Amino acid sequence: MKQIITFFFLVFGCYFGWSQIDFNPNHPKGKEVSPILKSLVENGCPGASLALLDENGWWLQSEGFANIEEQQKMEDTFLHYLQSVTKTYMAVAILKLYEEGKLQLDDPITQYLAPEVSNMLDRADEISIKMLLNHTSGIPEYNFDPDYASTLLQHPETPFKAVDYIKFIKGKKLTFDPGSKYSYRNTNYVLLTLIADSITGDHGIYMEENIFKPLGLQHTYYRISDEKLAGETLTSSYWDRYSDGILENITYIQKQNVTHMVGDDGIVTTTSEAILFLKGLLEGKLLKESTLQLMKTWVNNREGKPAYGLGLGHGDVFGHPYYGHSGGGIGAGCELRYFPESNRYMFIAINIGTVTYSPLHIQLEELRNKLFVAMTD
Amino acid sequence: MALFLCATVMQSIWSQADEGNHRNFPLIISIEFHSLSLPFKNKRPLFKNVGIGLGTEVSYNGNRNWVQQFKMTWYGNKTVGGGLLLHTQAVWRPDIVGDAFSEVKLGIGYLIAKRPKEGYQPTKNGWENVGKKGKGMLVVPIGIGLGYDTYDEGIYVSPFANYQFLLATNYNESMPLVPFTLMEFGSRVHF
Repeated sequence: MKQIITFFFLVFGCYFGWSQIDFNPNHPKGKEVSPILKSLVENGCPGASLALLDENGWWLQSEGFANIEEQQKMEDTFLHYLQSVTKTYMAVAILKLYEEGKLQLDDPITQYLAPEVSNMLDRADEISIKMLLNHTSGIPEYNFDPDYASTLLQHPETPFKAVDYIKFIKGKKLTFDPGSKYSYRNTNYVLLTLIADSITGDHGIYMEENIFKPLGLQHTYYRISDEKLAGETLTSSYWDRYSDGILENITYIQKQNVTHMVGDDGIVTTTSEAILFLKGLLEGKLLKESTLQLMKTWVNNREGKPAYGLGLGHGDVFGHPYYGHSGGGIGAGCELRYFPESNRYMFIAINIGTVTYSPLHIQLEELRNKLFVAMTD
Repeated sequence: MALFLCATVMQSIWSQADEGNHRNFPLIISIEFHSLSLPFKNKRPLFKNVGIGLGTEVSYNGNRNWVQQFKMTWYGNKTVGGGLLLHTQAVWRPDIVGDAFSEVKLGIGYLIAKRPKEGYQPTKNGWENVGKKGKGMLVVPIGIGLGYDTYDEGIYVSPFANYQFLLATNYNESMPLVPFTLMEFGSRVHF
């Protein structure tokens, strides 16, 4: 009987992808930050999930509600929107193609883009793939276009394709000379999908085959659909529409939006699989060491501080560095970080929108800063 | 002071209105279709989010070509939330042919916008349902249109079609200006 139970445990554990997670209920850092997560949901965040991984093992914690109306508690196994953290995955796909010799990072993007796409861009022949990866291209931001924002809010079911996003910046001038400075633009990563598509035929399948599968990520999904997410629970999303501290359920718009976004967004996953991705990447399971070094070649921000590599962000907490990426959407927010000094990975996801202001954010940001400080020692 | 100014302006309008033969204070009835979109950028289907408009107008000069409209519009919109719009617009109506005219409008209004779904507010005892309570915001309406009107007192209706663009202010802190459009089809009913 015991053998049968063990067998079932192993089979289902592997099937559900939890075999890599060895939760430590006495994790010292987890116990230290646990009250911070509780405070988040007591101060205006519907729900929050945290995963930590360091020398003491895994700590997983979820607080608050995945859905307020149904009083559904947040759980560690629920899926969260990665939002812009998707860019790190997209960058890895491009860098895999680079390692395979299928593209060169300094090649002009016109070499890979269809003429009808290149023709929509200003000075496309002066922009390289590397400039897209590290946001130094000067290409304008598509989601600053009021037509895009109003279409998203009124007609969220609009089936945007990659080229449709580029149409929002058609004919617009570059905002600075290519390569001259860093300015984060989602458009860069939409263009990278078109480049990857031109080489692989389908960048989504390429990502699944070359990133999700090698790392054993069984609960990570890109270009989501109800069919793909069958059997999973994706957390509901909330938005403070009028910046008055009142949240409404924005799940439909959030999900439709993420369904159609490519390259700059579009992945949902669990907290632990987000960490397994970053850990796999930084431990060399996806890219060669030399390529990883390219990824960690930072361009500076306006203040002269290192800000971004190739799909990887850089920041610091009181001088303690971290790598990773953050993500924000109309109904969600998250941060995936690695703190090299403490050799600690952290992923936190919340289901309140972070791209427009809410007075609720003030306290949430203070708590987020506390969490970050705790990560550094 | 504001009331005095308003009364003076209205008295001036009415005294001028007596000079021509425009039939003042008709009942304006319209069916409206609302959208959160830039002008002429709304995606199909165009005839969604139905509303009803009621209003009246008074001429500045006694003729139909220069009037002030006062209108109240209620609309539903399941995606972005319905609302009640109160607005007044100065309307210039250059003639096209015969009794057909075009319209150009500009004014000011106040929108009481609701939420599309029930809102939740954090309290010490958890999340409190506050219903679809929304927000009031100033709007600047701009419109164009076509219509037909005759001075013949035997005809009691004068139909029109308008395309109204509304710029709502202070929607939220990150989106201070939000565009709405209303397609309006209706008639003035003269008594």
